[in-house]
Amino acid sequence: MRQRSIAGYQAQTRSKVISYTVCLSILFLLLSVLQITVFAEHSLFGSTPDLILCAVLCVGFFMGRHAGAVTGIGAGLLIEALGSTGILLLPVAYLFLGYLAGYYARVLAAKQFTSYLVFLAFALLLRGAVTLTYICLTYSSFHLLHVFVYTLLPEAADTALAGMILYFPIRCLAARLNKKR
Amino acid sequence: MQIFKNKFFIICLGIAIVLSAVLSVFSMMGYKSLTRDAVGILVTPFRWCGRMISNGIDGFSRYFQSLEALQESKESLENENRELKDQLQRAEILEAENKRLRSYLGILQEHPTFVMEEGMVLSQSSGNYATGYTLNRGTLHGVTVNMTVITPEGIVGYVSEVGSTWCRVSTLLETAASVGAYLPRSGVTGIVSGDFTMSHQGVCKFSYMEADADIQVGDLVYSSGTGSIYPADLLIGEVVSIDVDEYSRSVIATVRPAVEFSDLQYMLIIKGYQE
Repeated sequence: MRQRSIAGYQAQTRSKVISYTVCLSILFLLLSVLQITVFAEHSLFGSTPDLILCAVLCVGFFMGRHAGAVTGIGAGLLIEALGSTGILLLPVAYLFLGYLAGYYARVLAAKQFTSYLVFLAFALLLRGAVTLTYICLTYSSFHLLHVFVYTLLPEAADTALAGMILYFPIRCLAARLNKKR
Repeated sequence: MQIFKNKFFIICLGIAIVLSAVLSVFSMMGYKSLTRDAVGILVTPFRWCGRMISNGIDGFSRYFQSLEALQESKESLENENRELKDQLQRAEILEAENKRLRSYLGILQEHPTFVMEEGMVLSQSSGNYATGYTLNRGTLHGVTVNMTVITPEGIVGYVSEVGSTWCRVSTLLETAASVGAYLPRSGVTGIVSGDFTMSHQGVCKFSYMEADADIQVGDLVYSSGTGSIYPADLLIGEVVSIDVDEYSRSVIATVRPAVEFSDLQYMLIIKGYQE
C-alpha cells in the first residue's frame, strides 16, 4: 500500500516535471526568439529588452527557487547560444536571479506585484553589471557615461517594461501548472 | 548567506559554472559553432516566425509612415494648388481688366474729348418690366442725370436716376429711352426707341424714317448726336428686320443693340464731351 502511494507520488512528480519542462521550454524558446528578432528591431526606448531575465524572475517568483535556478541555467545557455560574444556569464547570472527570486518570494516578501517590482529593480542592477562586464570584455576603451546613457539605461527601461508586462501571463501559466498537481 | 549553503543551489551553481567555463573556453578556442549550430537548427523555424512578425511590424509602421508622408505631401500639394488657383484667378482678373482698359483706350482714341467714369454694375432691375442697372457711381463721382452710358461695344442707355454713391441706368430697350440715330451707309436718319413688346426679345425699334428710306437688314445704326443726351457716332446696333407701316407711310426697323445686356459687369459713364 505504502509502495503504491510512493509510486503514485513519483509518477505525479514526474508528470509535473515533464509538464513544467515542456511549457517552460516552449515559453523560453519563444521569448528568446522574440528577443533576438522582433524586440531587437522594435523597442520603446531604443534597446533590446531582456525578456529572458524577466521570465526567469517570474518563474523563480511563482514556481519556486529550484525551478528558477534550473530555468536560469537553461535560459542563460539558450540565449548565449543564440547570440553570445564568447564568454558565458548569463547562465550564472540567471541562475542566481532565478534562485534568489524564488527565495525572495518564499521567505522575504509576499507574491505581489509590488514586491516583484522591487526584485526586478535589483535584477536590473545585476543585468546592468553583466552588460557592463561584457562591454569591458569586448571594447578596449569606452566612456562610462555614454554606456550608461545609451546602453544601460535604455536596456533597464525596456526590460522593466517587459518585466511588468510578462508578470501577468507567467503568473497565469504558473497558476495553471500548479493546479495540475 | 544561508541560502547559498543549499545543496541544490551549490550543485546548480557548479553545473552552471562548469558549463559556462567549458563553453567559454570552447568558444574562445573557436569551437563554438557546434552548440550554436545545434541551437540554431532548433530555433530556425521560430526565428523565421519571429522575422515574419518583425517584418509585419516593420510593414505596419512603414504603412503608417508612408501614409503620413503621403498626407503631408497631399497637404503641401493642396496648398500649392490653392496658391496656383489664386494666382490664376488673379491673372484672369488682371487679364480681363487689361482687356477692358484696352477697349476703353480704343473709345478714347475714337472720341478724344470724352470724359468717362467707369462704373461697376451692382445690381439689375428687380422687376420684369424694365431693363436697368444700378452702378456704383453717383454724384460724389460727378455723375448726373441724363449722362450717356456706354460700353466698348456701344450704347447701353442713360443715367435716369442718381444718388450720392449710385446711379440707375435705363437701357435703350426701355420705352422711355429714345436716341437720334442714322445709318452711316445711306445717311438715313430716324429715332431708336424702346418698345415694351420688343424689349422682351432684347431689341428696339428704329422709326420715323421715310417710306422710301434706303435701309437694309445688317445696316449698322449709330447715334446722330441730336437731342441732349447722346453724343454722335456711337454704335447703337444692327438692323435685323424691316417693316413698312402702311398707315403712316413710314418704315419701322427692328434694331438689335450692339451691347449684350445679359453680360454686363462694367460700364462707362460719359461725364462730358465736346461736339
